[in-house]
Amino acid sequence: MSMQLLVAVVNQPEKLDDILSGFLELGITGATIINSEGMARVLTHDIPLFAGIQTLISRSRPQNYTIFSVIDDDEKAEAAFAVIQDVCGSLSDPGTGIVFTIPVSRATGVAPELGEESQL
Amino acid sequence: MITVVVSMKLHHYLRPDLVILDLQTEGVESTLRDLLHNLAEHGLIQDEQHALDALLEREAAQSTGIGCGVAIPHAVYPQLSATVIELALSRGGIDFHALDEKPVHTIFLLLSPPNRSSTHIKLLARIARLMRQPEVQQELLNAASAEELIERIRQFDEQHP
Repeated sequence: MSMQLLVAVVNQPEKLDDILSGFLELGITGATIINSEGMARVLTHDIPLFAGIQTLISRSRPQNYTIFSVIDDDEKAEAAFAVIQDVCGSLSDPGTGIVFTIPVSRATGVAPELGEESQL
Repeated sequence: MITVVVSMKLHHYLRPDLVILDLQTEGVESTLRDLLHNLAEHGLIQDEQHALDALLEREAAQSTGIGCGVAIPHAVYPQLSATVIELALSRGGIDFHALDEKPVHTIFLLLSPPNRSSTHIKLLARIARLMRQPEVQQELLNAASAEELIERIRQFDEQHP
């Protein structure tokens, strides 16, 4: 059992509720969610030189979310992967999003697992 | 040690005798009273008023009518030994003061003992995710029996990790 940092870039903002609900179902109670923008969006909107380039525009999304979550074991990280793919569809499809995990050698302040004695 | 992580299976918590296919109430309080009375008749709760007060207190903080015709009233009820879910469908719709102000057609009522909060929260998340599937609510409303309805939810549990 090892700790993993899961990073997910979700290109469908409306899917965020379902992803976080799915995390809760797995007992994952901590994640940081950042409003983010993809490279194509920044290039085509903020850098005049690249405005109007169709290849970039087609990859541009108005908004995405980046989720960070330190997950306390491999199996749970695997299950979180499955939840994201279930909610968003196959991440092999272009423009769906990106998910990866990185082994964490040390962490503090990680949200504890939901306990049955937690306060409702 | 191998840990197997699985999502909460909602159908494990559903029983045909706690499914109401055609609820006839109209408002929040009368609906909750009806549902609690059914639980009392099944011997699951003894103090209907205590449970009602707890549910209404939660509704007063913010409606559990989460939108799209769904409400998930829930509360702690100390005398239970495990989480209980009652599922009710209303053809006519109930004014549940839902967040989107639309009538509610599907109600999942959850009561849990104080020492089952993790289960309670996971089930709330599971129900919310289930009911956001666009086709699910209509499929539930079309179910001809409690068993068919629970079977549809079992299929969802199998399809969605």
